Amino acid sequence: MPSLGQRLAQGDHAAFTELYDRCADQLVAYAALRMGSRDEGADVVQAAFLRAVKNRRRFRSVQNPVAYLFQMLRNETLRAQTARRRTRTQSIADPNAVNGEHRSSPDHDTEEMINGALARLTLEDREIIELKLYTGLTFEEIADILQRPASSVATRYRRALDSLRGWLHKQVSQE
Amino acid sequence: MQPESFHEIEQKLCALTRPNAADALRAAVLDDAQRELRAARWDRRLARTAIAVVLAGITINATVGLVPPHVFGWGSSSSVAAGPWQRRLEATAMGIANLVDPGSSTPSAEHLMLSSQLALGPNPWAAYDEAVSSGIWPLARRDADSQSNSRERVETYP
Repeated sequence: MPSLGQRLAQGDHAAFTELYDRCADQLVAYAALRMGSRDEGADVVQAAFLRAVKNRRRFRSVQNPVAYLFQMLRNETLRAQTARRRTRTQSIADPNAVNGEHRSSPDHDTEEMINGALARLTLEDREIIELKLYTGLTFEEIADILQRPASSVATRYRRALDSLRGWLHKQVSQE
Repeated sequence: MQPESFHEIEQKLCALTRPNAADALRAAVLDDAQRELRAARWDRRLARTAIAVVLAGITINATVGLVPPHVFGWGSSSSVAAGPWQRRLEATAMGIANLVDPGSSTPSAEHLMLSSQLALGPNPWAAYDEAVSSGIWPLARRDADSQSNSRERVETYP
């Protein structure tokens, strides 16, 4: 039985359907965070997936097709952000800018607080947190995507969580 | 809220509402994929057909003798003069050229002599006649009754 990567490389449409269904929600969540809106995130996911289909032969040598797809999505978001910077002066993704009508958490204040804390992280630290928590990827896979050593990714993740904990604790203390 | 551990922070972060993939997006993405895969299949079929046609053409040309065999490493480079098929074609072409337009047949004779590595003289037709009569060009012969500068008939042996 050929692996998913082999079937993708051969152009099997059912394999692409299986790949998409495996990680669609995580793809959209990550892209929406990166782009700052659900609609732009969906556009980027569509563009990234089409690029993956066009370059499907590379799946033959890929260990983890899902991680590889996230790598392509990340590259696509960077391209889209660069293109957007050229056309307008809006700043890069702010987690608070995700389409509010889709937020349905009962604890809205807590969510706002956490989003505010996330916005204080550096872009790379925030990306590590998002990739780790919303995509289910391992530190090794995230390291491949970000072109960093796995140990560095793990360390930055813990430091970012530590920073979040400190900020959130300070916020709560001030209330 | 009193976050005390990484685990709690992670849980809080994971609990943030994030947009899910819509059904419309799924349909759009998978339609794009299918369109791209279908187009690639047609491209491959066209490429295979084109390659097959080119190979068939080369093979036919080699068989007929229009392509020197040494090009494919099939014979020695000195045997540029081709086999019976090529000679037949040349003789036929010369006959037709002379019938249609005798004035253009002289350059054709020159071309034939050059391509067969035979010497040219001031009168290519004379050289051609000499080649024929001396047997260098064995498969084409003139009518014995015709004048040297009239080419009424050129017969070719099968």
